[in-house]
Amino acid sequence: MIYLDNNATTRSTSKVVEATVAYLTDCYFNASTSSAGVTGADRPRLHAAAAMKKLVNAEEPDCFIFTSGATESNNWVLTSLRRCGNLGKVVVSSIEHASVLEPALDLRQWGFDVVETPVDSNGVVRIDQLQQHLTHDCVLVSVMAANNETGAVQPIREIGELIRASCPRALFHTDATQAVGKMSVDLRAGWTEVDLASFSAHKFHGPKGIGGLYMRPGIEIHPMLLGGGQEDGWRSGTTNTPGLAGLAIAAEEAASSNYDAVGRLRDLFEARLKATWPDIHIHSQGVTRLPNTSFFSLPGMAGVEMADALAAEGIIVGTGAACSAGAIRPSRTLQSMGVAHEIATAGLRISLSRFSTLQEIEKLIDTLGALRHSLH
Amino acid sequence: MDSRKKPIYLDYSATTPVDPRVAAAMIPWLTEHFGNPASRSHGFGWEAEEAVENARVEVAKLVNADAKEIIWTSGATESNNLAIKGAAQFYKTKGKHLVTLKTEHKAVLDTMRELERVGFEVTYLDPESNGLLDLAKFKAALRPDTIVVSVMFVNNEIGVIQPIAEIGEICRNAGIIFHVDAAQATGKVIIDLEKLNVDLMSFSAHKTYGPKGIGALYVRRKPRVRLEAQTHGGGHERGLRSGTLATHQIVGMGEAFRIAREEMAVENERIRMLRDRLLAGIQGMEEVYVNGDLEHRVPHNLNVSFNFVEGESLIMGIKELAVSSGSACTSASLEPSYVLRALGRNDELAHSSIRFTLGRFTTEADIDYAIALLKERIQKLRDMSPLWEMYKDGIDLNTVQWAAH
Repeated sequence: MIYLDNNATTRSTSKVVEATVAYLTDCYFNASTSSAGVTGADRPRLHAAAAMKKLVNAEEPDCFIFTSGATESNNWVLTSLRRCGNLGKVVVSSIEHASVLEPALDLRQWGFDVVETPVDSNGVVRIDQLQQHLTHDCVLVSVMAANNETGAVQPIREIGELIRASCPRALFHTDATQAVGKMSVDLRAGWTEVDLASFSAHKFHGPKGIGGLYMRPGIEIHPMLLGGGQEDGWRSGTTNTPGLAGLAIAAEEAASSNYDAVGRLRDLFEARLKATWPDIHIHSQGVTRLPNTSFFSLPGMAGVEMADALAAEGIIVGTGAACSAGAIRPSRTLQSMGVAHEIATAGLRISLSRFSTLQEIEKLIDTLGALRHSLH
Repeated sequence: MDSRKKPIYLDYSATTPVDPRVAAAMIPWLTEHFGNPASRSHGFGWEAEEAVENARVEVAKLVNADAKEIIWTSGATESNNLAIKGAAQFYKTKGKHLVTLKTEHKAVLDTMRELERVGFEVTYLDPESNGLLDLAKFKAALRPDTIVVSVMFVNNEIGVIQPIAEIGEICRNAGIIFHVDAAQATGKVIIDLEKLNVDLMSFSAHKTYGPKGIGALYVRRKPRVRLEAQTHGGGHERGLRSGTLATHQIVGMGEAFRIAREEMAVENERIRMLRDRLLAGIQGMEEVYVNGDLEHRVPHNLNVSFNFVEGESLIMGIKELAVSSGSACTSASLEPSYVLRALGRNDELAHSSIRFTLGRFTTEADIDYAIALLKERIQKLRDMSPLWEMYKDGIDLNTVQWAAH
């Protein structure tokens, strides 16, 4: 089995699994009891916050509020606007994940003016278009850090500076789910204007069901989940100690990993593809992308069929966002980029991990060649 | 007393250890079978999806529901938030009044307060002194514009079982949505959703030997109950709750609920015997008060006030036992339990309470050790207490005029 669908989810490393399991049966105690310091149930959260601080260069471990994952974090940010009392404009990019786009569109029925700002043919937010939406009545701008399908990295620094210049009171949120752990993220250089950032452990070799929200010191949003007052009242619900223990290790391992090595492997793969099939479309190739992602179309080949055929050969790839893969429709991201329908439906997404090897890539290229020959 | 290395765990209502069988079922889904259940284009996703659906069937079976009625969440807190906010928002055109009990979990009470801030009206009913809801008082609290009632199945602090069947019948006849927080009930009481007129029910895995960070919400299909989704994006879980499904946790919850269904009858009798043994052991002491009804109560719980002993110093004095003075969520604070206050207990008794909660791995030796330890330490603490001395001298403390500081 060759797994090349790491933007959908990743495999937990053995150290992550070990850390997670220790809090299932041995140190199973509730982190909210007064004895948590004695039982050790307070450790996973402390460890996770410290590891996240280091991974994304945050100010304090206190900047992190842990949630069930990025979907919850994204929904939390968007729905919190309902309670802040001032209606206004909400700007999101047209390529956001559904967990940003859908709660954003839902805000319309609560009286907000919700605007989708477009991307260019490379899948990068058009700054000139965005600029026009950044009026004084803006309350929130949400632009993802890197796209889940094309891997296109968005100009977070530039967007942040634009927001501060045009609508300084607006919150700037970035869904950093695909970026954290796969590329260098620095909240104190480059991302200095980001107020809120969502992340998820299972995208960087941590367990599913745990993630969080970075909140810049001084930034506050209304809590969404109410109850026992965990996470200093920001997010109630029994602390997921096994998940946090796994997230902590995953963040530490990601911080010391080599993002460039993954990129070299991806570039090699794409060079071979191009040499073999000059008619190939590699989406967003002209811009900075996540080093692990290659989204391409081989004209005349249906992406879904190709993925199925590859799976039959033991190679797992993606065709677009996993969440909408149940329906055969072209990727929304490619549509937003203006990619023609027949090219878009041929889209195949390869997403590597730092454990991917040259041999796996070679096997994929050979198999693709054989399939194209037989399916064409 | 002999000194033991590890404290005896009698705090099963705060959380439970994951059953080793559950952990064993979870691990493969953390390691080799790590696919995203929503990735429908490949076998990695399919096998994860199948595991998720099998677990859904197990959760449904424990409560005699249909698997299609089970929605995964991150835990009972999220389930309670989703059920109450979701139902109130969906049915707001029918009315704006909700009814609950003062002894509910904070996840219900804080959600209700939030709804009050956005224009809903909430009645918080007092329970009787035994912790149970009086049905006549409940009926009297309902209004023509009541849309949602939320009453917990089993109280987390005193373990009393509310008359869910009766409350459900009243709600169904009045066309009111009935939500039940069953986080503390699964595996402890029989739950039959075919028979109960319950529309929404919250579950948590980690109170029933499953993992933390996973729970579920039952949403009745016949008659159909509607909710306003609280998380959007990706369209998982019938559009009611989005987010990548944590396969290993879901598998763990399914296995935990399967074990509960198969073993609860035998297990609960064993635990009842242990609880009664603990009760008999400490009832020989003076000034011991059981909080909450003993008959309508899960066998796992014993909540006792030791008069003239302050709860926190008692907990510090019996470090060999892992117990709590209230719910886990509020036990870090020194406030007396709001649940005991709602029962009409005075501050002193509320302050001197200890919650013992027993579970699957509690043994007879644990209980005997606990009884002997309690007797010795409580005597020691009382010997140091001037109030205890006054009480023993026959002074009625209620008549004493205390000097203001």
